[in-house]
Amino acid sequence: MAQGSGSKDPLSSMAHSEAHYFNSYNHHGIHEEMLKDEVRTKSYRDAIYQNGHLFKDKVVLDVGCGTSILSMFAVRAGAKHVIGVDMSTIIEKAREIVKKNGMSDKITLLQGKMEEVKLPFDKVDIIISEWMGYFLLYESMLDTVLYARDKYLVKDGLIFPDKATIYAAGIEDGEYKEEKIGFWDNVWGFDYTPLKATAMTEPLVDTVDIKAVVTDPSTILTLDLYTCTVADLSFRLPYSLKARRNDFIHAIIAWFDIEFSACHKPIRFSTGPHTKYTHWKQTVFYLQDVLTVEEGEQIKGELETRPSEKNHRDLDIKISYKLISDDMHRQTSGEGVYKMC
Amino acid sequence: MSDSDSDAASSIGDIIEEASEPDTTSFECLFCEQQWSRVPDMLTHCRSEHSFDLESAIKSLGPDTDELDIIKLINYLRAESQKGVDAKNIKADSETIADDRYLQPTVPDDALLFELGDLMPDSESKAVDFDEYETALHQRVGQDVEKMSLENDRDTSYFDSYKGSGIHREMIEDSVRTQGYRDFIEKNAGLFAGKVVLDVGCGTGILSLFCARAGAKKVFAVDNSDIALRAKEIVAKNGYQDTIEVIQGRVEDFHTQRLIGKDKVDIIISEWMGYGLLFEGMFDSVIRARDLCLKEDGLMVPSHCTLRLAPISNKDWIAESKGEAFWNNVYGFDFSPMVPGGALTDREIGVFDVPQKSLGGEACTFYQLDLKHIQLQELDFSAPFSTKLHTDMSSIDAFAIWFDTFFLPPGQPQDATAIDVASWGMNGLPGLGFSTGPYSAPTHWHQAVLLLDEDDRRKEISGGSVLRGTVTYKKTRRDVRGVDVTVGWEVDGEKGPVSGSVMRTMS
Repeated sequence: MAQGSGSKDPLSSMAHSEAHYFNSYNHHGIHEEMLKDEVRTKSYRDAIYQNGHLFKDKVVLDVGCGTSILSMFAVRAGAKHVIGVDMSTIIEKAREIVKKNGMSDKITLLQGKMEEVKLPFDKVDIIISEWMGYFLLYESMLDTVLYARDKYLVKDGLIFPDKATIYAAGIEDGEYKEEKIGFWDNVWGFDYTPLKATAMTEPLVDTVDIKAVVTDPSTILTLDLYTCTVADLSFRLPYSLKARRNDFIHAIIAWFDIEFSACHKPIRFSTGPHTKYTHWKQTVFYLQDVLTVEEGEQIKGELETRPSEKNHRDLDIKISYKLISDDMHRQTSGEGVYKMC
Repeated sequence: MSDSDSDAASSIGDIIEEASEPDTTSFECLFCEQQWSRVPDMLTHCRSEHSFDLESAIKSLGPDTDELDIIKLINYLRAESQKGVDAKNIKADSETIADDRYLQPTVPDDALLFELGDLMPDSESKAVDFDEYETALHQRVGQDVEKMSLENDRDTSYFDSYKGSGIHREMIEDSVRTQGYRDFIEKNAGLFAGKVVLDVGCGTGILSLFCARAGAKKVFAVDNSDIALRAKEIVAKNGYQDTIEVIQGRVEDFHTQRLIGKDKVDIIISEWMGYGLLFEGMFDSVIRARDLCLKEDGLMVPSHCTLRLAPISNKDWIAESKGEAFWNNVYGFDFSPMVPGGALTDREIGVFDVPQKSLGGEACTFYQLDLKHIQLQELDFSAPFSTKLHTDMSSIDAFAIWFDTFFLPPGQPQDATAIDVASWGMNGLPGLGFSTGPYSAPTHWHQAVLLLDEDDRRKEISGGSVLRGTVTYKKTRRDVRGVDVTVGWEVDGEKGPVSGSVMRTMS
């Protein structure tokens, strides 16, 4: 990572794991992947461009601005001024980009933690942010957005987006589970099954074919960004999945939808298996058991999520499950423990 | 942290800097701020600069001295020094260090406390094993024992990244790598039969298992990451728990040294190679393991590595890898400051499977590492190279660097540079070695690519001429696991000689 020799490196005072997190965002590849995610970027663009009446002459804060694409959307939509804040050194590139596009007088870019930077305005009218991580909450910046909301957003100010919902469903995934987990049964002639347990605790971020989905989706949690708090990001909530057909269930998957409800015509996008690819894909949690379900039967359980005590950017996740069936031979229950890190 | 270490070192001259910079751990002198990575160096320094002989002080504690006494002595000396007592006037004997509070580190994360193997008097009878030591610590200092666990942040993150199953699967599935090791071991089972082997950075233990299956008498499998716990289970699953002893820790830790014992090992095996060979600096640990543990006539597996380079000349491939087409228009905005972007940038080394057709000249060897003899300071080096460009080349865009790995047992000629790797075929030559270059099957190492600056990419050169230059590897000052690589070059152009230089970082 190249550093200007004169400038103090704000990462230097940080724990390494944290600095590593911000550093990984310095690489261009990840910005390219995010910008190329059209579902994501176009949803933000449309939400901002189609609501010029909301942005006109307003002061806007872009939390975790990255390459500043959202800040520039806001300027084009008529914002009076945009402040972009990001920890990463990508902000040096963002400054060049903003200048290239003739917006240097409209956009102020600050490198640093939201808690530590000094904004040129006491209050802002609108907060925009693309804070979502895998499984919505993994390496998410939502806590930073909530901090910015509480400290800087005017009363009746707007947040783009303002609603996030996590969903779950059950899938048939025999072949891939065998490939992914069964691999460890025979490694160069040795028994490597102890790593099977490790592999089972690692949620898999991958695209799931809609045909693999066996159950109705179930809503786990809806976050209203105007009212939710950091405490809401740790939760244990029930779910209930109803089988649509006779099949096996190897895994529970989760995804999220995002909504900009402040828009004149609400804009919404989903990262689910039923719709267009996004770089968030879906998150797959393999179950210890293979559930044999019949149409109409239900799987009930709880999904628990909280930041890991050791590294608060890791997530500890637990999923309990119970197949409710009249057939006692198929009644199954258990609990999976997972860690996203 | 690494900044302050190297700054302290550089203030007293280049030789010390060379000696202390490459290490992944360093500790402060007992009496001043000087940083050291090797205990013997610090002992010499203490004698000459502070008129204090630590070895004599240890001897003076009496014949029953054990690790716990030495830990207490070190903490006592540091505490006295912090009080401002001059080294010459510190009274160190078994009475002054009697207090158990000296079991707690005076300096947090004091790496010196994990280098006690170097300080132990040679008497075998006093060796306590690590469990005993831990039990004693628990009994005497209770919860504070946690302070003894030496983890600095950068190391933790590195070792943490090896915990999941994904990366191990990637490495195990890299058949060029794993099969290369397996073939050598199985074809040379006689070298392993009845021998004591040390596996440095054992990961899931696959190399240890190969060695055990080939008849090794004892294998010490050492890894600092939590994967060691899984390795232990895997070893037991396969019934080798009596042969393979999995140790979680660093090779240089004293509890590791204690478990390995005073008898040295016959063979050190390790898969330590990183991108561009030296990224991640794991080879430092292998060298330290060799110096600490390998018998004089012992065998290093692999035995040699060579570093190779070839020029790249292919504008289309470069443009694609830089992501030009994308950044020039992003949702109606000009994002050109992001070019070069993609995976190929103007700061960092990118890793790619370089298509053979993108090469603009012959591959050449510029450095050889003889693992048995190479010294830490030789990992920072400058080496000349020369390569003949293809006749149809008119410019160069980048350099690709990779390494080849050799298993040359005793009795074979020991000059790896004389071996014609190009004749090996895709998967290397079974039992002799493997290549990670563009002519071989892709490996998880890929090739390291240094993109030239735009000005240099525009320079016109004469196809068919010989390009000469120098490659420099230097550890990054900020990051002990990073490497700065510089390639300076010169070649004939249509209007006289053309030259350039490129420095990129692997971090």
